[in-house]
Order: sequence, then C-alpha cells, then structure tokens
Amino acid sequence: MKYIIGCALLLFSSTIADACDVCGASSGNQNLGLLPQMYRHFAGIQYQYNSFSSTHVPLSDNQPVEYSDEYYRNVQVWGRYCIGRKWQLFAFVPYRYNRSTYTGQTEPSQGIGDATLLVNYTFIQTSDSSESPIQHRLQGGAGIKAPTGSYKGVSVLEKQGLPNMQPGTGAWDIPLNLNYTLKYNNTGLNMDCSYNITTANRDNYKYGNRLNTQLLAFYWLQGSAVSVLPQIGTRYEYALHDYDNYNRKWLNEQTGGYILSGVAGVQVYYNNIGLQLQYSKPFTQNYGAGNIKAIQRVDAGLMFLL
Amino acid sequence: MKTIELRTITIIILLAGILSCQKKETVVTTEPGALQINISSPSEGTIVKKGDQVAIKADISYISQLHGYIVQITLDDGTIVFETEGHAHSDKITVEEYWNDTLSYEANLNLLLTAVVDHDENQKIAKVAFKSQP
Repeated sequence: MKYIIGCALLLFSSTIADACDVCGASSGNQNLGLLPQMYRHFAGIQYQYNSFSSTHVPLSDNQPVEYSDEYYRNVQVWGRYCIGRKWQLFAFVPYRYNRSTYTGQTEPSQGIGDATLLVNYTFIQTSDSSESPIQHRLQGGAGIKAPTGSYKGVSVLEKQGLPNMQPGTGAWDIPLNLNYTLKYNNTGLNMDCSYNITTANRDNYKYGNRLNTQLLAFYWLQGSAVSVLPQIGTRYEYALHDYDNYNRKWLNEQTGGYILSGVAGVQVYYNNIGLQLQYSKPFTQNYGAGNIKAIQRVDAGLMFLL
Repeated sequence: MKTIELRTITIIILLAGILSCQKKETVVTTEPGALQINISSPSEGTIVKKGDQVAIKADISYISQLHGYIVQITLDDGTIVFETEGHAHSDKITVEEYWNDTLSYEANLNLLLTAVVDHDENQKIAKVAFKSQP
C-alpha cells in the first residue's frame, strides 16, 4: 500500500504556466509538472499571479522614456481523465484578469481565456510490483489550444512589441509536452518540458513559439494523514519573436526572449485533496529586447482526486 | 516497443527544433521609392496665426513594415516648438496630428515628418516650410 501511495505520489505540481510565459500572455504554455496518482481522475482550480515591468523607448531622442507595469492574474479550472493505464486526457479553461498601468492610467482586460485540451501517453512507467527504491515515469503528448478567449485585434501595445493584455490570442496553437519523474525512496526529481507551436490569428499576428521547461527536486514527508512535499528548482522559459504579419514575414524583434527563474514551493495532501503553492523569481532574463522585465510569479492550486 | 517510443520522442524534439527557425522578410531600405512620404497639410508657404489649430496630415508608405513616425515643428534655428510620435507596424501609415499655434511672434516654421523603418536608424525625413504670425 505504501508503495502504491508512493508511486502514485509522483505528485502533482500543476505549475500551469499559461499566463504570460516569457510574457506571451494568453499564448503561454501548459506545464503539467508533478502529478498525483496517475490512474485517477482529478479536477482542480488554479490561480496564477505574474507581474512585469516594461520600458517604452520613444522613436525620438527628445521624448522621455516611459514605463508601465503589467499584472496578469489567471484563475483556471482543469482536470484529468484517465483512459486505461497509458492514456490521459487533460482540459484547461482559464479566466484571465490582466491589468496594465501606463502613464498613470490603468487599463484592465478580463474574460475567458483560450481553452486547451491535451492527450498524454505514458512511455515509461516503473512496474507497480517493483520493489526497487528507484521509480520513474516518462509521459508525453500533444494537444490543441482553441481561440475561445476574448480577442479584439492587435492592440497598440502589441504593435510596439509589448505585452498582449487580452484574455485570448485569436489563434489555434499546438502544445507539446514531455514529463519525466525520477524518485528514489522519498526524494525525487521532476523535469517538465512544454513547447507551444503557435499559428497566426485573423490579423496575421503570430506569437512566437514558446518553450517552457522546469526542473524540480522534491522530498516526500509522509505523516499519518497528511503528506507534505517541499520542492525547489529552476524554470527556463524561452519565446521566439512574434510576427506582426506572418504572411509577409514581418518579424517583430522587440518580442521574444528568455527568463531563468528560481522556484520554491510546497504541496500538501490530505485524503483526496491536494494543495499547492509555488513562488518563482527570475535569476536572469532578456525579454522584449531587454524592455520587459519579469518581476515575480505566484502559483496556487487546489485539486480533488475523484 | 521502446525503440518506437524513443523514435517518437526524437521526432518530437526534432520537430520542435525545426519549428524554432524564423524567416524574416528581406528588404533593401535604400531601394528608390521604397519609402514615400506625402504631406497634404499644411501646404508649403501656409500662413497660420496665433490660436489656430494646425492640422498635420500625411501618408507614409514603404515596401515593407514601418515602425512609426515622428512629427516635429521647428523654428529656423532648430528650436522644437512641437513634437509627437506614433508607432505602427504596417506598410502604410496615415498621420493625423494637431498643433495649437501659441506663438506670440512672427516665425518661419518647418514641419519635419520622419518615417521610421526600424531601430537601426533607417528613416526618411520630409519637410514643409510655413509661417506663423501673431
């Protein structure tokens, strides 16, 4: 039983990095991270807060440089449905509340975001009957992100190569992911990679493809009724340049870049309920030709195993 | 079975690598007629008076993507009395700006409209001379 729980443990992390990965706003990736009991369905809700500051460089040397702050909040309903022991179906429906302050004015933008459906396959899984202290699992899959979110066309900020604050992208995307977990007794490592292949929307605007990869070390503290899983690691996010007009290959070199962050978090389980809290802070970054700085990110989640 | 799985993963990684390539339109900025500016207002030699609102209207076109424009009104000695700018990522820009003449002295003025192609200082300036009288 302990083994089953331990194996099932290969816990959940649900670092859903979908809002503004490397400031891709609504075009971000869906990371799965560490997931709980892999043969059980679950449903949950997640909250993510992300903040950035942007520098607006004028065309003329006589004009002052201006600054703005962007705050992205995302509440997301998600769930997993297991089909046999190899296949898993994930669904994500976000609601976004974004806010930008620029030259003393605040501009909110909120609404349903782009929904995502993922299908994952388990390539490698340590047998349940194995007595080895080493267990591992490799999963991967692909999906589709539909333009269900509100999108009103290319904004002025986007034309300047600055963040998109709209809840939706207006485009279909293809997310790919690969997730590997290695566990030795109570200690483990999880590596999660997602790559988002974007397409152009009706305005021919195309967000750059995005890579999001995360490496987490975790330790499982098991009490009589409660399990606690502290974790620490790093996250690397990389985005290619956007296209202002994909048909004409107008590459916007003021977009794209990378962020390397430190990540610390904890997950707590009690019966069929799981809680997650994670904080990340960039170590180094270069995004939007250096004009956009990620400040911090907070993730929180509540899930119910069904 | 493991070989097939390994192959699948390899294909996914290779596909991601291929999709990381980004094409960019190649443009020769110095091509004759590549960047055109047509200022329709004010017209050359126009006389405006203190209190007038001067409409600045122009069309800019380029064979590829423009980045924006800068509008300046200067005195003969180069002093800037008005400046504004606009961003646009298109091959055509319609400029429509307004300046309120507050000058209390007679002055020869120049409207300078700069079409900005990129951040590498590829740009073109068009000029219209006009006058202000108190």
